[in-house]
Amino acid sequence: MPPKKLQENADLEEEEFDEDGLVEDVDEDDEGEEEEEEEEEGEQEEEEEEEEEEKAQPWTGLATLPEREDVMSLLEELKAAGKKQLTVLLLGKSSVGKSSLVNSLLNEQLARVMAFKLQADTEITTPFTKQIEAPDTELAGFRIKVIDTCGLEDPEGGDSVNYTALKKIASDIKGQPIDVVLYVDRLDLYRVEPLDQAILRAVRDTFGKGIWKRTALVLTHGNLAQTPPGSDYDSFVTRRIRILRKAMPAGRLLRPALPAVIAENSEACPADKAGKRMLPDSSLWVNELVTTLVDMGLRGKPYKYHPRMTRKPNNSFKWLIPFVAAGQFYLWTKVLKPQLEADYKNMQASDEHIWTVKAEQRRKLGIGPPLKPSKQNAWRLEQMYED
Amino acid sequence: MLASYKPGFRHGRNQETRGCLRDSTSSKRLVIKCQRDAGDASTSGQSSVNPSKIDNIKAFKAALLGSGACLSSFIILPNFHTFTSRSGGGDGSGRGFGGGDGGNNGGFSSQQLYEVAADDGDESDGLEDDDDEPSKAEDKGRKEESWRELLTPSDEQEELQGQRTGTNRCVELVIEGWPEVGSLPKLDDLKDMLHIQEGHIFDYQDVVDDRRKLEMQYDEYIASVDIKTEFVDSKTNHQRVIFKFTPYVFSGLEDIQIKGANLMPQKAVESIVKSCLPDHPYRVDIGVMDKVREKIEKWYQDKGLPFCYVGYFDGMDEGILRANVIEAKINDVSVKYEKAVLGPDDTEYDTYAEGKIVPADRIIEASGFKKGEHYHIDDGYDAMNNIYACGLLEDINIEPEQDMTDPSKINIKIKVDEIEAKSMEMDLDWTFQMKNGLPKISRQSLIPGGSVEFSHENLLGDSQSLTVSLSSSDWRNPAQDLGFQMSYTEPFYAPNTTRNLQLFNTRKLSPIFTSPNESEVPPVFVDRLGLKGWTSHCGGQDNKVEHSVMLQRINTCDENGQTVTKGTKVSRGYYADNGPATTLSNTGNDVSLSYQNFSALDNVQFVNGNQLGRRILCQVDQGLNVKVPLPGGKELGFSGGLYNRVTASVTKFMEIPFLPKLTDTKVWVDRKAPYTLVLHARGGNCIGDMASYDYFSLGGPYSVRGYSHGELGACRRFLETAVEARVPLKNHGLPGTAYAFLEYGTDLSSGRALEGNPTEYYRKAGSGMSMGVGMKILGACRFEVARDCNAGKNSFLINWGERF
Repeated sequence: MPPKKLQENADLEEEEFDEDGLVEDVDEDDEGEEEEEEEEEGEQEEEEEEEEEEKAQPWTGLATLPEREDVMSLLEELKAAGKKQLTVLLLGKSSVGKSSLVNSLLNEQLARVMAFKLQADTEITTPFTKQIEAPDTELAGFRIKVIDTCGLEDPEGGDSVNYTALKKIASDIKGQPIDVVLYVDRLDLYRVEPLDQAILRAVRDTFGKGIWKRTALVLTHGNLAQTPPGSDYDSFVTRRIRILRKAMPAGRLLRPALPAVIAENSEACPADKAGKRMLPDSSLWVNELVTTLVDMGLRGKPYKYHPRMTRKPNNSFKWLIPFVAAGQFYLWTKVLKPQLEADYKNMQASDEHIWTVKAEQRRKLGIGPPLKPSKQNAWRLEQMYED
Repeated sequence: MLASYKPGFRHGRNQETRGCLRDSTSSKRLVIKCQRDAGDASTSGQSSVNPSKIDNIKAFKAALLGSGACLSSFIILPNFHTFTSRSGGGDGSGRGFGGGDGGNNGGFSSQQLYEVAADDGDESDGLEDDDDEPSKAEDKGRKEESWRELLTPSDEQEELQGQRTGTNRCVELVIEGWPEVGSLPKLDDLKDMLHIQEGHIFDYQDVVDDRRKLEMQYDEYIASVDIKTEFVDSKTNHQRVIFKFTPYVFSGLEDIQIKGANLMPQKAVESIVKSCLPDHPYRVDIGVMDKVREKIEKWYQDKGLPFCYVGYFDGMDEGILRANVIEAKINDVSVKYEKAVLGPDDTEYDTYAEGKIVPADRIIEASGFKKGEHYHIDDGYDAMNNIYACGLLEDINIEPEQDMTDPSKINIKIKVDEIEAKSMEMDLDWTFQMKNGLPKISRQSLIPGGSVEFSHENLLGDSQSLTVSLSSSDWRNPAQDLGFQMSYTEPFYAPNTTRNLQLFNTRKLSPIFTSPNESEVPPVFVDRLGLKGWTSHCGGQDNKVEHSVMLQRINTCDENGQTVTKGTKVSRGYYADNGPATTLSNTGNDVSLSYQNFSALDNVQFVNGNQLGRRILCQVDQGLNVKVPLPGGKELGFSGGLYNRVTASVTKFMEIPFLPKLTDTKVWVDRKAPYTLVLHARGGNCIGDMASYDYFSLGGPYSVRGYSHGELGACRRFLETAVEARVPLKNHGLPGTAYAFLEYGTDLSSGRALEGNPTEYYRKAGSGMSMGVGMKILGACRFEVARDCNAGKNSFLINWGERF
């Protein structure tokens, strides 16, 4: 029986497939459990975790960074405020320049930049922790941690949000204090696509509204050779920032005016005499970026992800249930039930009417009353016809 | 050459007493039949009311309505003219009512009296005295022989010189003197009644039979019937048959009286008398009597009294036409139980006098018939309903009959068939997978599946029923997917209320884990094992309220029965198992306790096959699974979640505006169906914990046609609208109904309000419109061509059941 065999084979393969899936499942589940345990043990552990964090590598790129002086002085502010580390999370679609931004900020070729992706990012999050090793300065031992992430759109279709990646990012950064989130997009685009909207919404739903407080927009490809007709560089930039801010799903009234920085990661970025990278409007973007990072780093408590923050659709408006149920009960008693009763009465009245007319006719005729069913038989009959 | 049959006619002999009794064979009888509809009421044990279920109910109701119609069209078989009583002439005068003796005593010896007169041209007037009889009888042998010579076996006989050839064929039928009055048939109808037909062979017996029949049937009008035959030419045996009727004529009629009509008011009597009394008392037409009878009986019939009629006429010798009316009354009511038993060659009936389940007294009491009352035409139907209300009876026959010995009495026989309380049913079926709306035959479809059902319909004495059914899609290995259902019903739990308890097990393909674009989506089945208890209250036309409490265990599994915890897909060759979770607990198993309220406000009626009215359906499901956190991170409680889920639909069936409205005449006389416009809207919402098996799915033959089940998306909120215009083809002499529709469904962008967003994961549109045309023929079979407006493609579908 060849067909059966074939099918068996197919089944087998499927099973293997399933098993693979199962294995992964199990892994994830385990992780989840661990996470839960961690949650319960409170914040103490988190701090410990911070202490024994992964070994930082020396920030060698700092020495050759053209904007070294400015960056050092800015970071000193943070150090002065008692911070030992600045954690930056990068989010955005793929190929907008997240990895390049890491490279140009740290001045090292750390993140692999793939301009034309043939395969999806294998790593969802890639943290780079750099320690300043300049014994002569106060900054010695200060760490800067940049977490690069994969593109947030679906790697296969490219037209939907990669929820899986978002979930993974969330679980990776759980408990880590994030000082700044950089949402990276390109400057040289004109519109906000539905996909961008969906991604922003998904970011909000996954990390909670609180994330916007620590988010800055970074618009890459800032070295626009030519702006569209009818707009100069400044107006174009303003417009682009405005529409992106508008796209932030954070409620109509309390929409945060996210700080925005323009960046240009390319080698061909023009520079001033000191080699500091410059934009067409001759502003120094690395300086601005670091200023923004430091400003936000100084602002209040850092963002810490907790699974509680992820929006669960099943929980939204759940508190309404008793009210809705009460409302339904009210409608039932005040609208539906009276209507049903009225219908029943009408029907009975019309039945009764028919019987009285019949009885009257028969009485006139001089014959006995009609064979009206007894009350019990009447409802029994009704029920039998109903069934 | 001429042959004539000379009928002898006897009068003044065998005369019977006046007002003779009718013979039993032709006594008045009403037969009222009721057959309980044995429709296959399929109860489904699903917790969520899906549209198809509603539709099933409706379809079933429709069937019931049909049976209701059956009920009302009971058969009445009174034949008022076959058993009119004979009244002898009495005084022996030839002109009086000396009609035939009716032949009911078998003493009619007409054969002897007939003579075949060949060649002699004897055309006597047909009225002969009894005295002639012996001589005629003497001649009989010879005459018959000579008559026989006229008969030839066939046309093929050789033609002989001087002899006639061919068979005795009637080539022409002539009727003379037939009075076309009153209820007597017209000439053509009369010709149709005869044995002798134009163009056909006839023989002596036919002549005898015809004469006998005519005399018996019309003896009150016809004094005599003469039948003659003559050859039409000299060569063949082709003959002309001449019927000559001599109707009675009375004279000197001065008054008409109606005797014994106690129910008839004086006014009615007067008007009948006035309208029937002839202008010239000396030239009275034969039709008067008939007219009087007809008017009296029509009056009674109009009043609905079939057992009141004119028994006989008398008083003619006094110059008075007196109609003696009999107003029969109910005398005896008896019950007979019948049970069909399959005999060796034919169905036999086993009858018994006392019921095994429903006692006879109860039936008689329920029927409401009382001794001494008149029998009204409505009483049969009403009594049948009353008896039906006892329950447990399948076939009810009510047969009122005139008493054999006293025509003023009616005996009512009630024949009932008690149901067999215990029964077992077995079905075998073969399943076909549907592919693009057409069945596909595969190896799987050859495996027999089916069900066995045991039921007891009278567990505790009042129709309480218990049904256990087992079903499997593969009887070779039933353990694999054995479905079972056990239900207990108390139909008469309280006024208008039934109470039910059901233990069920169902398996359904989830419409959520499917994809219109990616064919490689492994199916997910939802297995429910549950206990449901509910009361169902009916009242108003088709209104219904159900309150149910349900406890169920839901398991999601794949084709092989392995538990599945989340949706999967194969996309571009990659296997992705990051789909939406199937259950709330993430384990593939949920236990849920919920309350459900279902209300239907329904006054939809079928008007000659097309619906009119409005239907509002409303369903609320309230999840009642409160979880109590326990120390140690565990929780106590069912995993089914807390939720509130509402579904409501409004359907309005109306006559298409701007078209002429259907009038009562068109409905009841012409039997026209209305051209209807159906407006339909359905919406739903859910807040709280929602698992995949409770998601609303959009698309499908009961949601948005033109799409497959769940093709448009899964959602937390939705709205569907539909418009359909129906043209009943029966108005134009064709079968079925043609319709055109436009439908739209949207998830109100609530797909992402579901955990895992299955709409996006499986790349569904979330909303869609469709339009199409269809035909409904063969009952509930729908043939449709629908256009999927999202993809812009047309599809042909065959569906069962009503859409709305």
